[in-house]
Amino acid sequence: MSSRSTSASTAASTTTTPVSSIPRTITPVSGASAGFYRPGFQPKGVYRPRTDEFAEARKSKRSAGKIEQTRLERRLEKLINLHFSEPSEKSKTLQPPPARQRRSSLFDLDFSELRGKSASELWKDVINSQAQNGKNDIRAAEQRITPWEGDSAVSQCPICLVSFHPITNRKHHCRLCGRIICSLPVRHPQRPVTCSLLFVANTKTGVIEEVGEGIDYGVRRRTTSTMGPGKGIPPPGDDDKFLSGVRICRECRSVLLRQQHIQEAHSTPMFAKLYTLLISIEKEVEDLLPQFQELLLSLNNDERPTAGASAARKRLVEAFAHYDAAAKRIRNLPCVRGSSQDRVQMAILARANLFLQKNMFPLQSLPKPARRTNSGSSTPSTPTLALNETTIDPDSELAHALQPLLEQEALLETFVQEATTKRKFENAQTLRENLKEIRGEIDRIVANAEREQAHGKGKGRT
Amino acid sequence: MDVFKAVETYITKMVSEPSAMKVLLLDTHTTPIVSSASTQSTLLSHQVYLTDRIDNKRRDRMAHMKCVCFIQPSEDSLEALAAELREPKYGEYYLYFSNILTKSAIERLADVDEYEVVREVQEHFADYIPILPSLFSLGHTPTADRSLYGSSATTWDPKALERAVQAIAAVLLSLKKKPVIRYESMSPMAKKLGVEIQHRIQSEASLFDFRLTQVAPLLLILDRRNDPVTPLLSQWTYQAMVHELIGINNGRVNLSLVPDIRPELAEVTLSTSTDSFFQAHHLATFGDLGTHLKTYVQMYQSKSQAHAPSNIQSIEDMKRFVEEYPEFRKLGGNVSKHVAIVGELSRLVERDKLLTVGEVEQGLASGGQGADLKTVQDLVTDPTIPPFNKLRLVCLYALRHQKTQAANNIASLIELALKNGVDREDAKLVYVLMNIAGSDQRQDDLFSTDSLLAMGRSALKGLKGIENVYMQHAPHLSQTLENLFKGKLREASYPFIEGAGINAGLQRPQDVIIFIIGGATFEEARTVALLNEASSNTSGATGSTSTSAGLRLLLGGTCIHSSSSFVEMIKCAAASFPSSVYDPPAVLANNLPALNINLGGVNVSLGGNTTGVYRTSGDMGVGVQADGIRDGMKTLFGKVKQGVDQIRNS
Repeated sequence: MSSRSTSASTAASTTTTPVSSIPRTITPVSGASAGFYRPGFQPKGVYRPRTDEFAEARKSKRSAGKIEQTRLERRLEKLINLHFSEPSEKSKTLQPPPARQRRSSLFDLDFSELRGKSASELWKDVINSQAQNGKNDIRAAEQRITPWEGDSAVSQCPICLVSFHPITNRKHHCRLCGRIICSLPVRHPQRPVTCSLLFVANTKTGVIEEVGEGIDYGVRRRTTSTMGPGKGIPPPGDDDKFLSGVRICRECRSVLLRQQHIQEAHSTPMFAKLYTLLISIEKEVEDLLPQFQELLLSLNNDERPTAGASAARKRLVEAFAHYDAAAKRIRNLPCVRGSSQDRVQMAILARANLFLQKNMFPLQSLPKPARRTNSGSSTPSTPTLALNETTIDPDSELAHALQPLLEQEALLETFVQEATTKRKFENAQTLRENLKEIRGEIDRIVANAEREQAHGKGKGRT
Repeated sequence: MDVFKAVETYITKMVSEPSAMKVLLLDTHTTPIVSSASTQSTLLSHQVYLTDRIDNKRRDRMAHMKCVCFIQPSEDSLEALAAELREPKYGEYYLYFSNILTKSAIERLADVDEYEVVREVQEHFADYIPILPSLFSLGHTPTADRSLYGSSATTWDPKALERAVQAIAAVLLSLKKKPVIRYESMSPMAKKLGVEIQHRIQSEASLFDFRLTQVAPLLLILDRRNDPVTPLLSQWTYQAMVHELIGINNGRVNLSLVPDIRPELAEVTLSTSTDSFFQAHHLATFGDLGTHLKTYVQMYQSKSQAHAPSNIQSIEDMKRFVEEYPEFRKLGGNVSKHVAIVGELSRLVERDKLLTVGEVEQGLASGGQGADLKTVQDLVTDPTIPPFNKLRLVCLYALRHQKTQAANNIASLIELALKNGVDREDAKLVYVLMNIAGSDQRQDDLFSTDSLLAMGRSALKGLKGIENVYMQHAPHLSQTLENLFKGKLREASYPFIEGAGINAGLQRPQDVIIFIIGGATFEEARTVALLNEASSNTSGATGSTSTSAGLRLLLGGTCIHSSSSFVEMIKCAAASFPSSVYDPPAVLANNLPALNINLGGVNVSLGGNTTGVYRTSGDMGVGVQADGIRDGMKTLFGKVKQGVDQIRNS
């Protein structure tokens, strides 16, 4: 028990670390409630790391099955290469006997294989003869990868213990471990999951997918829904549209899953990339904000703020715009309604909104001097703003008057949207009225300015 | 000793690592813990974007997300976790357990971690539900299949015992306390729990290895059966009332049964950590609450006027509006929430005639003479009072007068209750209650009736003046704690678990953790909170020698009771007890005459003089005050409602 005591002592030594450095909405209240006790008195609770024990146990368990596992993994790799690589590669890896490759006639069957085949199978063979040729080659190649269990040795499925039957319950080989299993559908209680399953893989992306049962291993590419056997016979040999799934047994599934997991963990979907971007912008803003606040403090009494301050503000506004855009892009990524992915994307947007609410709104409350000089340099964040900016001299009186209005307008628009989506119609109504007023005000000012301008020009001409 | 902070700290620590998109997996046990100590926005700010149950089989695979698992090391949860690790849905796993993990459990998990996805395995002792900074619950409201009691009211259900030991060990670890343990001598359950906890502390010596304090903290284990009165009473403070009349479940209040409730208020959260109004007034009496709510609404009203479209005239106004709008909207939501809750409370109070019932209850429960047989009979025959309230009244009457009144009084009351709508099954509970928590079972005098000294005390209380007739009753816990502070808690009634040390009895503890087997109440929580407040105030003053200075109290219970959950617990428990529990107590049936003679003298001599004086004065005050409260309530709610309607309409 030495490891225990050491871990406990490390736990005891880390008592003074402050925890709540993270922005929280509830900080002031929890502070008040903690006031019942002497502040800062409470030590951090005991915790005990047991990772080392776990890793130790895992290591000792793992080493035993390691060899068998690597072997299966290697077989899986070969199988994927065999079945799912590009046709050009395939021909290289297959090296089929030339005689068989030529066969294309309907009646050109290998009679040696007919023995022991049922009538229905024969019929199928006739239909699929073209595919069958290739299939026999593949079968041979599969057997080179994995030695198959002899058909005669097995009379019932080793997993669900149901007897095999030449028509109703045929024998199938697991392509990974080689033993014979059934392909019967789920049936409670003796077979809660199927004993075998099919998978397809894509060598380019490395994606491995489990697929449903289809006739004669023919499976529509990229479908994960189960296809009933009655759903029609896929045109044989059409490699572009159809991939045949490779059968493995339930117990070898873990090898497949493991491969799948490794592959998925290593690939970064678009979503993850966007998210990293979002977080990096957030960090940037968090770094910039204190600097800006400091600059602002030094500006308070100053009539003409430095260029540094306006530049900082500009950068912040830009960062916010980027942030907002990234958050919205994440939300708009395609996903199934109601799936976990959907919920995650929604949650990320919620977080982004919280962040903006916390950091962007205070940004609006700049002291007048800073605002005045900044107004020209701050980048327009809405189309309306951009439109006006092009026609109006940024340093004019008018621009100064318009700038805050336009900002309010943009903000109000987002509020209205938010309120509507949250179905707070009363709020939305109020907001909409305000928006209307603001727009009226903008129109009035612009109209005034134009009149004055025209007037001024007229004056100038005379 | 802030349990809320302790659990919050644990959860923050769990979710802050790793810094990436995370899923949080919980089980049925940890879900209420996390939801009461953390908020959605806290979780979001730690990049937890998905919270799900570990036993949910239909979670989607998301290999790019990391997974933080916080579960109880129970068989079910370990099984679900093992299944998850066998086919991991997420990229990496950080496993946190709410209690001590056995060696075999670690090996079992290591065995299934074929993908080597587990990065961290830790024990974080957030194994109880923090409700207030000084109140925790085990969230174990006993039901028929999850019983608290074994085959009698003095034995534990083995599972419930293990759960209680685990949870209290977690409380101690999370606060770093290694206490001495005292228990109520009348309760074999309390003793059993104490012994088990002591044993746990000794067997996990490496965990309980803290710096020693000068005076060891005290763990005081009480039994609900020693005070069955407190959970039977109607409540008159905000949080307690909400729990009593509507029900607070994991910080959530279900208002969907309220007539004409707006859909967004069908379920609201009520937590002191996120709601400043609730934080300020959760201990306020109903009358005070009305006043506070009125000011709150008025504040909202004035703000909303400032935000009205007609008032936004200048650009400055608009600017201010935009800045304040989110805050204002939040305030609006909170105002309508509290108005809805308090409105519902006052509706229920009026509907069930709780003001009348409450007055009598208080009279029965406190030492005073508020209620005689006649008043109780009148209420029991009143058709407008719901049967459950009648049952409570009869229970209280029976508990109060078990020894001092003729048995036929109680029997006739039960008969009367049966004739007036009380279910036969429920009426049986009066005897059950007397059998398992009657005066023979209790070790302390709950009603202060049978000793001269106690009578004098209650008379003193009367002289000091009770500010509110509905707040007369003080839970028995306050008496116990007062004795404890004064060093008068007798070792005969509250013995130490062996191994406490020789001088343990002489030391006055600074930190006291009280645990009530069979559930605590919000009334007791209020007592503890007020004592904490008082002690932090006096210790702030220089060198105060007040008895409560520097004391820190923490209250916990197997659950937090309302009167209905308490009665339900008794009902469920009685079903598995020997059937004799339904019989009238022996004291009533047989040796009643003898008893009457014994007690008669005391009764007469006291009843005539002292109480007579206080009865008249008390009655007058009561009447006036009650009227005041009633009137105040009605007009106040009229006004409040009007105000809110105005705001809504404008």
